[in-house]
Amino acid sequence: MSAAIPAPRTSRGWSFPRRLALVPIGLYALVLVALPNLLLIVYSLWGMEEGRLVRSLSLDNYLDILGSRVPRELLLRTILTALGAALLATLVAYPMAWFVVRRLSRARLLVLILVVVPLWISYLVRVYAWKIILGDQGVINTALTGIGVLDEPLGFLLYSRFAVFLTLTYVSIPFVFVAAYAALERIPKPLFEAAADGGASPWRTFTTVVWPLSRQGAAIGFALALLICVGDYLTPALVGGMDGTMFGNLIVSEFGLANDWPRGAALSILMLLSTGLLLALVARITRTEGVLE
Amino acid sequence: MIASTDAVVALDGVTKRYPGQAAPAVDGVDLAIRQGEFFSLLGPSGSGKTSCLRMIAGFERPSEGRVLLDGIDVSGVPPYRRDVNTVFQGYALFPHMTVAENVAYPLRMARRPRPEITARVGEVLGQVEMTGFESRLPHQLSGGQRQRVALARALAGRPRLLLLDEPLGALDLQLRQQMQRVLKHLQEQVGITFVYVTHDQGEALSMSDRLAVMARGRIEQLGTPRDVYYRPATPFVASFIGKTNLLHGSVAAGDAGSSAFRCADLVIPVAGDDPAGPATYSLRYEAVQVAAPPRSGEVRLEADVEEVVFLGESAEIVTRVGGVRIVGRAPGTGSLALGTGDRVPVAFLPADLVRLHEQA
Ligand SMILES: Nc1ncnc2c1ncn2[C@@H]1O[C@H](COP(=O)(O)OP(=O)(O)O)[C@@H](O)[C@H]1O
Ligand SMILES: [Mg+2]
Repeated sequence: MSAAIPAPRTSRGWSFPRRLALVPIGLYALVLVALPNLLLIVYSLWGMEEGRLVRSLSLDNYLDILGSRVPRELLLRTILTALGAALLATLVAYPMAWFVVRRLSRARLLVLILVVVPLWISYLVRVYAWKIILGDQGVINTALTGIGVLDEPLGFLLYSRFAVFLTLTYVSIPFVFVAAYAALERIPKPLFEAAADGGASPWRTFTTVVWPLSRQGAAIGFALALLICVGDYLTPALVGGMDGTMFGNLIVSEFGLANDWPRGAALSILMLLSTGLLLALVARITRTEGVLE
Repeated sequence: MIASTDAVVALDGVTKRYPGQAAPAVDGVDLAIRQGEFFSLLGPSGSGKTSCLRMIAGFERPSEGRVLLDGIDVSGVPPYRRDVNTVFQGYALFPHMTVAENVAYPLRMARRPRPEITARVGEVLGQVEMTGFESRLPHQLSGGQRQRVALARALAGRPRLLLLDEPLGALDLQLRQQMQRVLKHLQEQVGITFVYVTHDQGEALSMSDRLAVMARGRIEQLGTPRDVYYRPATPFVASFIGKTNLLHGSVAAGDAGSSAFRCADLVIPVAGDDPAGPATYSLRYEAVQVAAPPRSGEVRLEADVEEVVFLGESAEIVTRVGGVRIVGRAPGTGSLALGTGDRVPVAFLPADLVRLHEQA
């Protein structure tokens, strides 16, 4: 990357071809981002009466949701589970990426492919694989009972919050890995030597140079993972059972079974807001100044 | 094999082989650098200069031989435990730290008290004339300014030894000459031993107390700039440093203790103690005077001008004498009258002929 020279901007603004290039981006943002969200907000302010949409604006949906225990607790639990899974995925994937960047040269491509390959496999299949691993007749339980460690299979492995947490962590790892790898790979190698030259041990090189220059990448990976986990309703549906229900399932059921779109929209907005707040916090904490060249 | 007790750094039979490379990058180098010295490693690209420096800094380990710092073998000592600092070729400033933070880095790593760090940072930034830039980030500096900050960072911890790898390579000519003076002045002022890597002979000659000329991983010659310039040991050194005529021929003993060097159809008297046999002599361009008034004791020959290369303040005159090509220098103004095909006298003093050792 070159130095942070701002795009040439005259007092009259951007030149015409540049402005033209912004049109598709603007259209995209309008049609696929702004409009649906606007719709969602409007819906969340409407209401339902006896199965029919009432088009009058009010905050009733929100007050109702926040006033009742179940959605509130579910939102909190969903966020905590997602945070935990994204955090654990980061704790696994970031050191892994660091190891690959620093220690591997010939095996690097192989490891990269191994980590990224799961992304090419259908999400459903990946989550389903955990059913096979965690189930009563699954790999873990069969092995443990087979060698006689257990008499009965461990019931809590599947259809539990634990299963949701584990699966979400697994699903998140490749995303965090790719983001962290990209950030770590970009750090110029001479900086490591400059740090050692200045008397920094490998650990202090990490804390003073590597982490500050890659934490934004780690944060992007973490944020991606968080978004995936917070909104996921397939994983809880497949491996969560009753205990493992997440906020996403609630939203799905409002839009689907209950056919209460305004309430579903309000739930969605609440989730968006809380995740947005979290992401802003993460971005705030991991900000680093300076430009890599 | 080296009396290394008074040497700040010594290489003792150091060889470096990189995996997958047929020839060693450094091949049996012996070197002892004294306290307070400005020492240069001079050589063309790929001659092993950087490899030597990296072994001293600790970023590479010698395949054979030892690296001694203050007489102690440091082969197993990691870079961060060596009292050595490096100015890197690309500066390697930390992009997320301000100028002051960059310079403070080695002091912070050494866990110096904060007031001391602040004072020291101010002091070195003053020495490199970068006061006032403390809170800038590296990408907000020009190349020359980054260079100064890199230098300040390397000096901040008062290392025993400063290694510089082509530190001025990325600067334009004018800035480079200015920085050469800054560096030399600074080195005299702080009294730190400098090991300076460069492929620029002018730089090495003007700044060094001593220098080693390297080629293909070996030291061709080690000496003062004057030694190396006026008494080159090998044809490589003679032609790499300055511009020189290499005359190939043979020496035969004459009568009454005199000797003569025969080169094609030329016979030139040389010192009587030059051993007989095949020989190569170096004769610097500027030692050859073209169309100049005679001096006593000089060798004076009639030559045909083949080409005149005008360089501004001087000109190079390519001539042919008795089947031998000899290039001489003339003042730029004096060259105006000369042209291809002219017959002119060329002259040099026998003392300017330097006998070279043939390379193995
Ligand atoms: N890390 C390395 N791996 C393999 N070969 C290298 C490495 N570093 C240098 N070399 C080779 O060693 C030789 C000397 O290189 P170097 O010490 O960088 O020379 P210089 O600094 O004089 O240009 C070159 O042929 C170079 O290609
Ligand atoms: Mg080099």
